[in-house]
Amino acid sequence: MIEVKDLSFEYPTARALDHVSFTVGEGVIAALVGPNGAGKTTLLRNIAALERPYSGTAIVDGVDVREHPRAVHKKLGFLQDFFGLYDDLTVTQCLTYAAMANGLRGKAVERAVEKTLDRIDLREHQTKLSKQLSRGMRQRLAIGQAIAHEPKVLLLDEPASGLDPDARRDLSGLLRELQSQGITQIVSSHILAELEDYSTEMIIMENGRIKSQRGVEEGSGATVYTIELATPNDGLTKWLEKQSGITLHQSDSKRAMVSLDGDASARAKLLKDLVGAGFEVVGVSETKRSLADAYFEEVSRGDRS
Amino acid sequence: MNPELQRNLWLELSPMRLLMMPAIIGLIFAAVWTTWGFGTEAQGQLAAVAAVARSLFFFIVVIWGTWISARLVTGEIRDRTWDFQRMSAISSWSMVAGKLIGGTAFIWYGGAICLVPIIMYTAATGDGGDVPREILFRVGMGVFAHATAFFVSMLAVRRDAASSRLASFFAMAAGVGAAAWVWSVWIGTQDWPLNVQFTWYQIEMALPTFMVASLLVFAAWAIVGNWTLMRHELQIPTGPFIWIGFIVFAMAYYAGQADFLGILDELSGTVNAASKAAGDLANVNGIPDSILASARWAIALTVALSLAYVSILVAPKNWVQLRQIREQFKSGKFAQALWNLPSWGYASIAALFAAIILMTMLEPVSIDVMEGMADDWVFSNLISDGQIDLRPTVLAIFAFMIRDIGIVLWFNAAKRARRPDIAAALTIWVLHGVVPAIFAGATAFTLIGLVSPWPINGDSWMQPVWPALEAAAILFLVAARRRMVRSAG
Repeated sequence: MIEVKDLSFEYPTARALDHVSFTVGEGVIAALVGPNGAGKTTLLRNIAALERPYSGTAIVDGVDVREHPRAVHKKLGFLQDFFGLYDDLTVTQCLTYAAMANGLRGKAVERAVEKTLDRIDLREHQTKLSKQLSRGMRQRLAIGQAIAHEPKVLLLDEPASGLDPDARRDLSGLLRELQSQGITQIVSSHILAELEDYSTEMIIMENGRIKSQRGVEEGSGATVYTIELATPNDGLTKWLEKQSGITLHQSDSKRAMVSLDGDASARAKLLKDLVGAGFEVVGVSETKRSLADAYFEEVSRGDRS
Repeated sequence: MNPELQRNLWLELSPMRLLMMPAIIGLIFAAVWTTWGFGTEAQGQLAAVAAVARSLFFFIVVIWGTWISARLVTGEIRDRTWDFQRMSAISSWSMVAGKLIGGTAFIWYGGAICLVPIIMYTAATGDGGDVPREILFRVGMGVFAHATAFFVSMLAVRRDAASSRLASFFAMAAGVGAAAWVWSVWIGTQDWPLNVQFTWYQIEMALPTFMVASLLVFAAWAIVGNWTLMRHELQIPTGPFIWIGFIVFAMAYYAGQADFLGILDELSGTVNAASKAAGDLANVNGIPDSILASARWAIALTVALSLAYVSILVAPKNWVQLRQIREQFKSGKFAQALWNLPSWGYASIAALFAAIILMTMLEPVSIDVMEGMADDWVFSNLISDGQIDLRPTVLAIFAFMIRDIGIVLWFNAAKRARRPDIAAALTIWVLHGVVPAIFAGATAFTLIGLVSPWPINGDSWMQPVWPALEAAAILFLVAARRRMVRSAG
């Protein structure tokens, strides 16, 4: 659905995106993560055809953002980090304007408004001015404006920032629902725990480049084991790297996180081997690996190399 | 309906506002009618109301209207709704029309009410042709002011300066200034002798008619300019043809007024030595065809130069675009490179074209012809060998323009340039205004040619050499500065 090919973008004094390439399939929710200044927002703006790449391109549903930016706009909805609403228009007027602005006319506008009101769960508030809505409801209305024309792709830049826990939960539900309706999404966020709720892929950016792209099920939610030592031992990492059937995710002199090929007996063998090798093992505990663990592992892998 | 127009009408035309505007204006008119015009003839009362209506029209349509027009896009940027509009399917024409008409709908509602007593008074006192001209002038002035403010605000958007409050202030000032200038010219035409016709390319017409026609044409160009900038904002590929068209139009429009210069001199009674000398050669309308043609091309050159200076100072300096153009030239993609030239590039090419044509027309002028003016003419001490040749000066003017473009680019090339265009404009003003004044004061006229176009004694073809060297040096410095900035990351 989205194919970014060797895309570079430059500001007058610096290159913000450096030969970025990746693909996002249909119906996927891709989490775009990375430190501040990594180029996430610039990348989203290039995919949304709001900026013109210096070189390379992005293809959205078969349409090239460099060649046909306006055609790409029709296929996309984009909610920016700091979005705005027309404060003196009612919820219905905001959605009517969004539908008309995206090319719908006549009865199609009414249908789009009705459907969107249900999708974003604001029917009870449809006659309120947008400035009278809570932060979470404004966020939903902004998403409603972005999806009123039923785009195939939705880009969201930090959609959960400033939301309370209830509003975040609602947002997660809304994004999952949109995914079930076939909308491909790229969500940039710093809140990794929240991304874990709905993302199916993770794209990590650093210094304007793609550091890695992986399925979230590869990175998080999998069972991993945390090895804990009573006294620090600098040889732990090296020893674990030499063992077969073990995937090392993270380690320092006192703690390590690994995946094991095999069942409980593999775990028992690991414990026995550790003790045999002279490590003072306190425990080998089972845990679920989070998206944050996967992200930091990826980032620290780059730092080590 | 145009969605942008619809949205603006929702916001602008509430029932309360629709009731309040005529109520307030009506009360003001009633007050004027019953107090200032009390006891006088009805025509006098109408005159008083019409005078107040003219001022009210200016306040509501021009001042209030430009204040709104200046914020039609910058307001969207400040409210963070602009990117949503940029991504919409609204066409560039619909966006411009929706904003300009919808955003100022309430203003025009008030303006239309003010026009009623103005039209009634004009109909009662003028001839039949005055009423449509009066309406076209007032409406044209308002549209021109709004479109100018909108245009300047869109330029600020392109310069990434739209979030600054100064940007809206400058846009409003530009709109009000344009309207004030139009109004002052209009008032000036009211005193013009009725029997004198304005001549434009030998087409004769009444001056107010020419003025209203010019106003409407420039208002139309301002709207076309808005449309062009809007296309750019909406990521719609836009070639250079609109801008080239405007350059050609402006050069031709002002050059056409050269026909009127001879008559103006006679009328104003300020016939100076130079025009007297030209008058000696007169055959038709006081100016011979060859001099008239040269005068037209000199005006065209001045217009192209002005557009080049204005556009280099106000247009964004897009280094990525300039680098792409350089690469396109290097790889032989000349058509692509020309297509991508910045606005000042086209104005510079137009200036070069006009300069070349003008040089082919100018002949060295002998001292005999200029005898009448030689005594009090500032260049008189520079005339040698019985002739003065202005062709090298024309070439020098072009070379100095390239140098000045280089100066603007050099200030902008710094990594953290603060108000580089203002610094560059000041530098150019010092080079062309202050330094020559100092040299002139010291009677070192020859030195003036080092910093600004000036005829020099002796081998006058050396005159363009120095500014050409300056231009080459500054462009070298620009390239070096950019390399430094890029290597520093």
